[in-house]
Amino acid sequence: MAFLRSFGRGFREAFRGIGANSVLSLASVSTAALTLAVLAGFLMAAANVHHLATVVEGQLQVRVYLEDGLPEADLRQLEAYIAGIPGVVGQAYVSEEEALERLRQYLGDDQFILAAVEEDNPLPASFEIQVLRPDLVERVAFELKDQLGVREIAYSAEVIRRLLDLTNFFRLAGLIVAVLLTGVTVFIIANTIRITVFARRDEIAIMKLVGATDWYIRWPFVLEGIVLGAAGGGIAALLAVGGYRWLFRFVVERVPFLPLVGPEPMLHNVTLVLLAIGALVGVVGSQISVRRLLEV
Amino acid sequence: MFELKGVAKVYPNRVVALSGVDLRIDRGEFVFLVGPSGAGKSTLLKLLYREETATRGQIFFNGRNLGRLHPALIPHIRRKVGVVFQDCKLLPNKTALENVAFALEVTGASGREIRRRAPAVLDLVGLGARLKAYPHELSSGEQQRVALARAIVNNPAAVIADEPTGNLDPDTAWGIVALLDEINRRGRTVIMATHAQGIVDRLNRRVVAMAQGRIHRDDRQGGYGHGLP
Repeated sequence: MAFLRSFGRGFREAFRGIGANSVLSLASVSTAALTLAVLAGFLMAAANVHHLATVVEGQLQVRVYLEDGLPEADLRQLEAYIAGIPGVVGQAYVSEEEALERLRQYLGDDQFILAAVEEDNPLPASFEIQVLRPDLVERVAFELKDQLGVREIAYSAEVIRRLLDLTNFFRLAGLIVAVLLTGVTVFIIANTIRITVFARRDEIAIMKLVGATDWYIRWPFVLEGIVLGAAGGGIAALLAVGGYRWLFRFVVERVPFLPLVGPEPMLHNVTLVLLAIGALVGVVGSQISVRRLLEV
Repeated sequence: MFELKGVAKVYPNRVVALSGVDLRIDRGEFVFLVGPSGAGKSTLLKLLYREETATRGQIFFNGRNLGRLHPALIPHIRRKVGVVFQDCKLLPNKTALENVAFALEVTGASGREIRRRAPAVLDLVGLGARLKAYPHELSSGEQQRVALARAIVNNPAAVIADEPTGNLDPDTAWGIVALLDEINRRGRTVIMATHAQGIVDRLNRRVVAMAQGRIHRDDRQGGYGHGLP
């Protein structure tokens, strides 16, 4: 009961502090919101690149581009060789004309691009090779590298590696930016609460004198920090949810083949993460402000 | 109840406030602490309610060494020792009743208990009719009564008063001291630092006289003393 009572009192006092100090509170919330929105941007970018890498990985494909005008005999020989490589589960020959046809379908409405290539088809013929497992892709590519008639080999392992590098980049950059901006947010929340603490220093002195425990004194300020931080997190989440939904629709309509992460459950998780980080930032900020006043 | 053994207090600015203080105050005693300004009276009182810690020596409260007290236990000591100051330290935006209730709230008392005890204690100090008055609407003497009510509302074992009558005219001052006397007769230890010679002489209780951070005289039943400045 006593705990619940001081819990309720904490909320009243916290909102009293925010109300009495509305301009700075607003500044704190906006900073937290901006910071966390940037963080959300990095999180979602990393999630998408990672998703792209998994999609590409799932294709398990090695594509062998052939030299132009390869004789039929060489083609048959290469086909037989490919079939003999361990891990290869299927292959298909794509002629120059088929490659152009695919491009035509792929581009859809943007026929004007085709006009430039249809005159003199620059697309090479190729073999599309399906591989059993991702770790075999690189070996299959290696086996084919020096074969007669092979012009170039493209395989997803390389793309995956680049995409995973990009994922790591977004995660690292996100982390660095998050740490810096979180530091700024903690600082601003701490200063906002310090003003509340200062305004109530007489009350705090009397609380201590009549035997209030540390936590009884601290609790309203910690709550004030949590409310400020979580409000910032909530606004950032609204921005992230709205922004990503818009982006998703935009991309799906215009670039349908680009595999984006679906809005759910990612946005749900992002919202939870933003609220949690916001609250945590508030706790840290408030602790910085009240630590000194409790040293009696 | 309180026992000080070889206590010295040196503040960080190297001012020696107390040195070699030995003092024992038993349960139920009424003790006047007298002496000139700067004699160390306030410092001694601050040590008793653990606002300050001793630089040397030991201080015991009911057998507990205050110098080795875990910080989490300090609030519980404070609830057993009510404190009153010359400047009352009331919260200006709270009524008399709210100021007293505040001291109960911080201990986690229930609403029912607060509604029962806070008005009763204010009634005891003679302010039963002024519950809803704000400090600025009260006279200095009335404000000090509210402060006294707040100090005793948690039913402490001891009340410490640091020049509680310093701002009051003699009649009003006597009213406060009479209340402290009444509190003492109900079994609580009262320790009061004062310059009010008339009050000390009239009440005829134990007098501890201090000068330059030392105990100069300790009379079981005494007066303010003329040897003091």
